[in-house]
Amino acid sequence: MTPSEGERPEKISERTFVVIPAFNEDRVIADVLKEVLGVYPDVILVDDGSTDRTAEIAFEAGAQVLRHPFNLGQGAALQTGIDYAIRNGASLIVTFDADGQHEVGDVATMIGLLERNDADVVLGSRFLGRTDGLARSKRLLLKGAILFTNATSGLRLTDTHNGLRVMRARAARRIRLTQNGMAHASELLHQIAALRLRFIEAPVTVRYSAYSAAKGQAVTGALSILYDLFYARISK
Amino acid sequence: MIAQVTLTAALLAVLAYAFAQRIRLRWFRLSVASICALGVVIIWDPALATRAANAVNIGRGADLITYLWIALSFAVTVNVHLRLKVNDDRMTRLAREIAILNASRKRTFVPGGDSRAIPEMLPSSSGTASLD
Repeated sequence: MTPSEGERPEKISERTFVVIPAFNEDRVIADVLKEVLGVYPDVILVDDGSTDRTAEIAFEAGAQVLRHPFNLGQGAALQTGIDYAIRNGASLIVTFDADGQHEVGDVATMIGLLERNDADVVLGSRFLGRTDGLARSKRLLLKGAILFTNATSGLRLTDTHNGLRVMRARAARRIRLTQNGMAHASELLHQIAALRLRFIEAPVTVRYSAYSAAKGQAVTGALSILYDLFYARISK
Repeated sequence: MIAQVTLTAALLAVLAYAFAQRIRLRWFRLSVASICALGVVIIWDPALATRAANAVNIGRGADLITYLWIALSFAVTVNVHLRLKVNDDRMTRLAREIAILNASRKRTFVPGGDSRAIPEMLPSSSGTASLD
């Protein structure tokens, strides 16, 4: 059963921080934050050098706002938010997308799974859960990414590029994202595998609107991710 | 003779520039000195390049020099790329610390380099907070 809006999930840890990396999301961020702040008071929005009013809107909505002085990439923004959460006493860290694709109700389910299974990380999976409006081309791209990441990480996941995750602070402290761009998603999974963190997948819902679909990864972006991962591997 | 003197002077200028940089790595200085020394020798004894080329089954000295130049250029490109990556990492860490520091001090970064305090944190503030 998914908790209704405003209802705090059972056994929630003392300090649960929700980290939301954002870049030019002023059209949707107010609604996203209203939904998240309704359940979780500690929301960290990391504005990744936006040129619109994302940071101002987030501040007015009541989020704790961090601003990169220039655009670095989602991976960098995520690590910044995680570092800030840890320094401010987080017990659990939730990563959540800024474009309105995720449902805040899924977070409680994931936290429950984390605590019942004594896991370090819970990874959201749209393919175990539900997708609304996922284009076929995007589905194929995601499936390709899943095959690649599973092959290179040794994990067996059903969704390797989902921004909805819950992790214990003790696990987050051991993870260090160095990929500033979208390759951070694969890098995170590689580190989970290398550090032998206990993880489970949870069914989540991902909603695709025309807005969020337009902001998603194109094929050229996928090639860029592959290059970043290849370069990271050879430069070790 | 004019060309040889000019080219020799150019190589010596490169050598001086390299040593004037604040790079104290022995291998770097040795590499630059070796390449410049080899270059000066080949300038004054072009037949040496041809003999060296023949020794490795390459027809002409000019071809050998071209191949070596390509290899050297590739090495330099890779080195520059690696240095850029190191700088990118440093900039990321710096930007991260700025963002966290500003948030911790209740300030927010405004494009253009202006860092302002959030008004309600100021003792004499009143009214609705504005970041403009």
